[in-house]
Amino acid sequence: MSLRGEKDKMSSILPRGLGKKIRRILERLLPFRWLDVLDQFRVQTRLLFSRTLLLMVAALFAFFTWGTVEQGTFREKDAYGFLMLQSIALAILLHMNLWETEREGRTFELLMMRIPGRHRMIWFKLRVSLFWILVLSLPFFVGYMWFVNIPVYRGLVYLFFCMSLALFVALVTCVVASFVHISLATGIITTIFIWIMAVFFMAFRPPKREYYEIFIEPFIEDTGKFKAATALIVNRSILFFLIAFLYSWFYERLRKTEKWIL
Amino acid sequence: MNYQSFLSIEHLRKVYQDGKVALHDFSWELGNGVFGLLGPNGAGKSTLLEILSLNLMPTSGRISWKGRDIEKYPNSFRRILGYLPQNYGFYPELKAMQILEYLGRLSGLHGKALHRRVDEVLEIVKLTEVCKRKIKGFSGGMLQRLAIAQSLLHQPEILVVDEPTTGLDPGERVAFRNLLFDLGHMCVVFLSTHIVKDVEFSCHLMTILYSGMQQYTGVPVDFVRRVEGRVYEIVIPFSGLEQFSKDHHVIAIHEDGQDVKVRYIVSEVRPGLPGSVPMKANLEDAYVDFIREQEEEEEHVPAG
Repeated sequence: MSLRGEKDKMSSILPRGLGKKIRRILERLLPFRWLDVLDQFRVQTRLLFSRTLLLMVAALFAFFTWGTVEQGTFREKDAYGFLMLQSIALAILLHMNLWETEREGRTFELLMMRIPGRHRMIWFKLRVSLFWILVLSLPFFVGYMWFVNIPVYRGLVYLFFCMSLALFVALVTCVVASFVHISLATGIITTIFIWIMAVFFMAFRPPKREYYEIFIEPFIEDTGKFKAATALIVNRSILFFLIAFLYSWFYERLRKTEKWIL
Repeated sequence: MNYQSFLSIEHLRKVYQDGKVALHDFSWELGNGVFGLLGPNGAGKSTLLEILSLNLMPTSGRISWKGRDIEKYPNSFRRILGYLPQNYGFYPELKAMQILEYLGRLSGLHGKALHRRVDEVLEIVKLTEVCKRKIKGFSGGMLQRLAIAQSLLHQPEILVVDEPTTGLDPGERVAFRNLLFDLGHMCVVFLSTHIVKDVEFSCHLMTILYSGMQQYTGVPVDFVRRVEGRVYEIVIPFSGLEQFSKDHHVIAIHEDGQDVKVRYIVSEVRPGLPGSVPMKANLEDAYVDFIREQEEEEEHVPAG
């Protein structure tokens, strides 16, 4: 049998027209609104994960797994450091090319014609990338919770802190992307920016930093108890204020669409 | 041509951040039919179309659709607007049908109505047979037809098309013009191009932009009258072509054995050179002559 024939045989493991059948069933079961979101989600996911990006994400997984085993990360503090780092890395990776795919693919105008309002446009793109940050982060969180014996509630607190930081980094990446227009350069600039911030807090240890350090750890290392509630609330409020600021900045950048299109 | 005006553009002006004035003072009233916007590259055509499609904001001026300012009601205008940008793109890994369904859903179509409309537009642009092929395998003409299909998905009342026939072969170009002409019976078609024949064969009215300024607005036939009686054709030896081109306004050159057949315009209505044959003027003659006049005027404007 020819190779082509074998290939055909192999590809026939899945019943023909299965995709179509599933789609018909979904169309019968789900409301239109859900179907629309699913379809948009499917297309945007395909755009988000280019082969290069998939390799980078795989490399990230390999690096953190190797790092954990090599370092013998048995303490929560170390685990949190790793989780924070991988959330930042994922946020940069998944956002450095997010808008560039549309700009470079010259599909931006086609979308702008159909998605009324810039808030919706931003949400349309970000919901997919943020979803994937969460999904790709979960194996790390679950893995560390099992490996380092972190209780579920503490794991969820770490998840909240890491994801809010990832949202901040994602928006920084979007703002940088709106100026730079080259994905790799966007990634490098954002990494340097976040690295400078981290180094600043580590090197200078400014006073009262638990109120404003965005990389803060939520628990006291020795006792394992929550840090002062006021400090944590103020800290996250400041972070969310920064996120809102970055969002409005990005929104304004998007308003000046001539910079994106021309 | 008598038509009811739907789209009204009043004193539109666009100045970019770097101070470049892309559009000076553009006004036009449009109803159903095909309206051509002619102009050389960099004349401001794409800027005007980006403003019309709400992707750019004008510096001043107003656009209204059936009396309603589109800047105040951008979303309702988007619902009736079909836009085919000059530099559009598609996701190459998707199939033609998938991209149309994706964009159709974004345009507010769902379920059976969506599938029916996708089938209809595929039929209109004659892509039904290849609708399950990936877009990355499409030719330039097929991509262009797919682009027009996406702009028709939501049955627009105004269709804005930017340089739609660039890169198409002659057959595809004619088919495309005919398609636009047919669409002109159902909606306002705003066609921007630098290909004169597209305007000549499909437009009811035209306007010419040059350096951001609106230079002429009217019926193509009237514009042709400006060169009537001034277009000639002459056969000259190839060796004399260079000198001839310096002395006369040459429109077109064709090889004719050892000689060349030259189409040229004289500056005023008078007999041509001995041996010249008077020719019926067309829009291309008038347009080329007009652009050359503009360029000469620009050259004579003192610097500073």
